[in-house]
Amino acid sequence: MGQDREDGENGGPDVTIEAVKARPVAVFRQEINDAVRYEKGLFIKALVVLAVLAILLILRAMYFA
Amino acid sequence: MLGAVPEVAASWQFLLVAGHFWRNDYDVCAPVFPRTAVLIPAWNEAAVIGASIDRLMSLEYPRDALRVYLVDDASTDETPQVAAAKEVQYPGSVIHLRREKGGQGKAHTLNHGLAIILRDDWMEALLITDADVIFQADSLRKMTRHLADPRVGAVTAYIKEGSRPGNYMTRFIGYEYITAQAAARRGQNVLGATACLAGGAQLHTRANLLALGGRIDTTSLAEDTFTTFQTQLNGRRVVFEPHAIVWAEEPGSIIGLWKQRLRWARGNVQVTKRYRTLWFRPHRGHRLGSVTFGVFWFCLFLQPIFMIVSSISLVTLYFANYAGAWHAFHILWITNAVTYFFITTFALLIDPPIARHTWRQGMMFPGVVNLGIVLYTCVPRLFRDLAHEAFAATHFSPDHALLAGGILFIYAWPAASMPAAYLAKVAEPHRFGRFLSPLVVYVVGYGSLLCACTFASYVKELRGAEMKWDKTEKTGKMVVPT
Repeated sequence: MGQDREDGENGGPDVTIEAVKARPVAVFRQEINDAVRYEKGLFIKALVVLAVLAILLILRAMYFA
Repeated sequence: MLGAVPEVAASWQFLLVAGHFWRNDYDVCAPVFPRTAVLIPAWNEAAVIGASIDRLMSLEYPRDALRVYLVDDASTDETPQVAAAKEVQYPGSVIHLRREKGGQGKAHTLNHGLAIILRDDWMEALLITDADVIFQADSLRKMTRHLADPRVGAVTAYIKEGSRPGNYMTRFIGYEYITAQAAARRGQNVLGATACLAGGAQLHTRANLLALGGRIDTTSLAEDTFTTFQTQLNGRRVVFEPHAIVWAEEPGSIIGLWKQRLRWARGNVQVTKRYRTLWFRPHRGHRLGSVTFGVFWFCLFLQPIFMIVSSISLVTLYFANYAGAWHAFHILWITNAVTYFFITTFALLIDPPIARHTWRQGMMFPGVVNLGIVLYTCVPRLFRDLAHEAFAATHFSPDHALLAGGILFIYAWPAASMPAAYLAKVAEPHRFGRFLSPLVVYVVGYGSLLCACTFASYVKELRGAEMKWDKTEKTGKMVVPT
């Protein structure tokens, strides 16, 4: 129980403590895969942003310069 | 053209983020749980320390491999009582240490705890954090997985601003942390050189600490950066783990931000001087001397100088070569526009949950004036047509002096925005400052406020001002996702 005698209410940081055990290796692998997938997603997002930027620059050069 | 260099460097750093999917440390990670001592320096932290310890004790980490050492730096509030209560609540897991003579700064407080922790062999890894920092349950084990690689000496986490509902300032900082941590540190992972371990979440191996002499540098205001540099100079790697998330409460006022950033910026001046033989000198053992890292470091460190030089150059060129000045101005601001679009859009996509909370501040980061200039540079014809229509409608015809004044204003703005941002700090304590200061920050830009702070750090260091540890006040207003 936290200092405010509440238990994570309203998203507050106070929580009840539970015994923690080491996670199985499968969970670890899954987390690594998730992390790598997220990083690949950032690569795709960067490409999309750059593509949009290129289109905007072309439009600017053609119509707004 | 010099003024465009920091923008190009910032874009380059963000491009490196995209390369983090293929150049990272995940292939050498393993589920390791070294015996970890958590070291928390605390001075008058009664409002936050209890919750922080509760959170640490609920980490998804074997309880017998986790100890919390709270070093109370002669607090005068209820910190000792809270710490003593937690010691009773978690017997053997929470250790309360007290310094009777405090106020010497964070590094001294850390060293007090470090000396005790290193007395026996129990500790295999040390997590240095701050009293207000809240760790997500999986954060520590996501950090320790990198210690499976014996080349790694230290790991840092992604610190997010957690004040809710917060205010305009905490939201600016929230956005800034996406760019300065989630993005910049990913880029540094790719580069293989890290500028700074986050002070609130740095995990060291015992071997690394011993190689550092078993103590933290006490001669500067940037002990985190010194530790980071020294770790890498000793041949060990420093890794940023973006998926280990911790939450911290950051300043909610300009004055609070100014104190914090002045300390950081002065620390950076000290680091730059201390490692003056390191810059731009590639070395086999580390990447701190690489040209790219040097460019990143100095573009940030000298940002105010770049702004002043570009303004002076444009104004001088205006009188010497009017057409040349106009051409240079367009190149500079087109670069700014491209950088702004790329960095802002990509940053908001890097961390969508924080972006939902801070996207307005992200868009307004450069300030209204800079955004106006960026828009004008992007679509000048549209602006001119609108201006003509407005003048025709109001029967107003601007004379040559007015136009010249307007042009000189936008040329001088990069430099002038810094003293303008300083006015926001000056105004804040006054009655009208409550409304005026946020308005000024939105108009001149949060970036200019940070640059003004960096400039103030040069002045302080040149004057040899006393190194004073101005603690950031914490109130416990964080709301952390569960």
